[in-house]
Amino acid sequence: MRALLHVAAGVAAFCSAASAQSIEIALLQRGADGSFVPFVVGEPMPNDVVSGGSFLLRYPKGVIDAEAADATFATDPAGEVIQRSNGDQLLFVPRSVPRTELPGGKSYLELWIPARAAGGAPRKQRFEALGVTVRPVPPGWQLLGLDGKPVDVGLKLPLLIESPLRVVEPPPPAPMKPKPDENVTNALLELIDKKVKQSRKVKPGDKPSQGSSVSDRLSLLENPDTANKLIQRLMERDSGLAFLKDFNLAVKAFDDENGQSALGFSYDYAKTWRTGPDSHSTPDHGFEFELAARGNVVFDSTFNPEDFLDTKFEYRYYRSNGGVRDDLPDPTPEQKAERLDRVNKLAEFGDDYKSSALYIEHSRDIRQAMEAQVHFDLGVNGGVEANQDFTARNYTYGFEAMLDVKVWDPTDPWCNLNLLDIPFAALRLVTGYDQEFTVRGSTIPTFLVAIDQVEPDGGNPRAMVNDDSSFGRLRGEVSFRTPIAWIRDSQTYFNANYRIYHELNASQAVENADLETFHFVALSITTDAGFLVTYTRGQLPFDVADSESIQVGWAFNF
Amino acid sequence: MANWDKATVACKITWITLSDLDQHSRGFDNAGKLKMKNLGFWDPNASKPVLKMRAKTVQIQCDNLFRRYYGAKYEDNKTRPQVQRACLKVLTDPDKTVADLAEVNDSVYEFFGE
Repeated sequence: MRALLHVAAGVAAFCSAASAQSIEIALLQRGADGSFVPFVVGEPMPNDVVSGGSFLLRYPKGVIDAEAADATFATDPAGEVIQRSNGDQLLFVPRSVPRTELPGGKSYLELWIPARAAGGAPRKQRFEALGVTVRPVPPGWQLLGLDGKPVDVGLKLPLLIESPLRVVEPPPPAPMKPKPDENVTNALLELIDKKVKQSRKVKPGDKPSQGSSVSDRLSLLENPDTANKLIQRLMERDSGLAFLKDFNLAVKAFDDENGQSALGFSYDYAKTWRTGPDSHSTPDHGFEFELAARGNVVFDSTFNPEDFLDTKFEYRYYRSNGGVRDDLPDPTPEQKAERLDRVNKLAEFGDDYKSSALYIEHSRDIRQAMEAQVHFDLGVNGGVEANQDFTARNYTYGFEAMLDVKVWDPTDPWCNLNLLDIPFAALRLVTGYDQEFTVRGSTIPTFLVAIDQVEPDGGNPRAMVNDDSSFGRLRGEVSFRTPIAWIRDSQTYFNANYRIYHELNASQAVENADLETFHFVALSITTDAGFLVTYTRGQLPFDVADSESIQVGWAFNF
Repeated sequence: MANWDKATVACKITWITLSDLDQHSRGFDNAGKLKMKNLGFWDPNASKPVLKMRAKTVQIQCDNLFRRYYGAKYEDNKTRPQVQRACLKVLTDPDKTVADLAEVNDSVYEFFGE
């Protein structure tokens, strides 16, 4: 973080922004059937200029009055009507209108003037932006959205350039692609300044701001949410930092049980290479090689409530049997059409689509195609577990197996083997989530079992009892999640996760110090609106003490 | 967020298939904005390997149903590992949406009726 602040300070001190701006708002694509589909490709800001594209306009009064349309659009230098369709729609094509900002705050609009007189040729002209205004959509005309309904994209469209302005011969264009580091610089400044502007409260009478001060920019970077947005945006750009995207870096504020907090970051990298058959058959199976690294790092290394870095490789075989019946015949064209037609109709229903007769028919039909799915992974792995300053570390290698069985058909008797879901089936009945007592085969827990050989190197907690020998370890995890209710129109789940790390043939000293087995339990209730209650208890390797916590709150995405 | 509209077959098939796999219970209009962390497989407390395992189970079953029930095919230039990699990249990102998944499905599958 400190490094980031230094970079920002340097950037703020030495950079000035002057760049070409071209914001695309809406385009119109021709579909295979000849229809037009408008879509939004950028987020418009008030007073921005459309760089080009087309807009589908509808005249609500019905059939287009060709004379009125021509009178409205035909004489406009910014565009032309190129097609009328369906009697009440027409396609309006503004000319490319890039806005170029030059040093000194001067800007131009550049556009082609179509030839309307016989024998004339289109001309490219540059207009000073000063004095150019955006005119509302002519009375009675509307911009249509994807669904054919009128939309408001926050800007009055189409753009029409009022009266021709003073014509200036444009200098020859000098196309220049910014260097990667300039991209980073500009992106950083742009994003910081946007946040600064959003955070300011402008009162009537205040003088317009000329930009953000260095202190404004630095103070915002201390906010983890702002820093994360900056990081994400930078990685999406052609900045030379895009390769970092795979690391899923996130700046965090870590809180401890005493209410103290400290800044840090988490990282999570995983890359998988798959080999094996490229068959289209069921079962699906193959070999995978994976590199993974994840952990939390706090800038004050004495303060890290989740101090566990895990870096490893794994080579595994995976296989998924079932899911759909082996003897299921390929669908005929008639069946495909019938199934798609049913889905088309179901998509028109609201959130109560499952109570419709059509869904019951669909559900019955697709259940006949499905059967239980058995998915497993078997692999060997090796890696390093450590605390963040690597004063405590374990080198590990071993064998790992995972099993995930799902019975997708809720009427399949095998669902009843999901014993863990039985109390929640009763709860769903009480809360009204289900109308019948239904044990879900889709929520059968996922299991992980592993045997590792661990080579401690550094301040492993076992060293406190003078045992720094290598040891065998059994590792396990169970993951379970099941729906329990609708709360305020939000789907609510119960989640349970249990992990165990057990040392095999532990020495008496390790047993006496209670370092033989680590348990970790996390139970939570979450809603898709963001509310969560989480209870955790236990410890992970390298944690010296057992801990227990309850968290209640809302998870927001900014 | 990616486009989410009823004119796109991939959106509708993605929506109904996730519903059939008990991953959500939302109507079409409200399902596109659901995030991966809102779906039935996403145990927020699970370790990454286990979470990925659960995501892959769903991906494989979606693939089964797309191809063998709805008659979809891989796009000409796509192999099964490529399709799986593309879909898992979305499924294992907590903040990706069902609409994002439909967009990827649209790019790797050729659905009947497109």
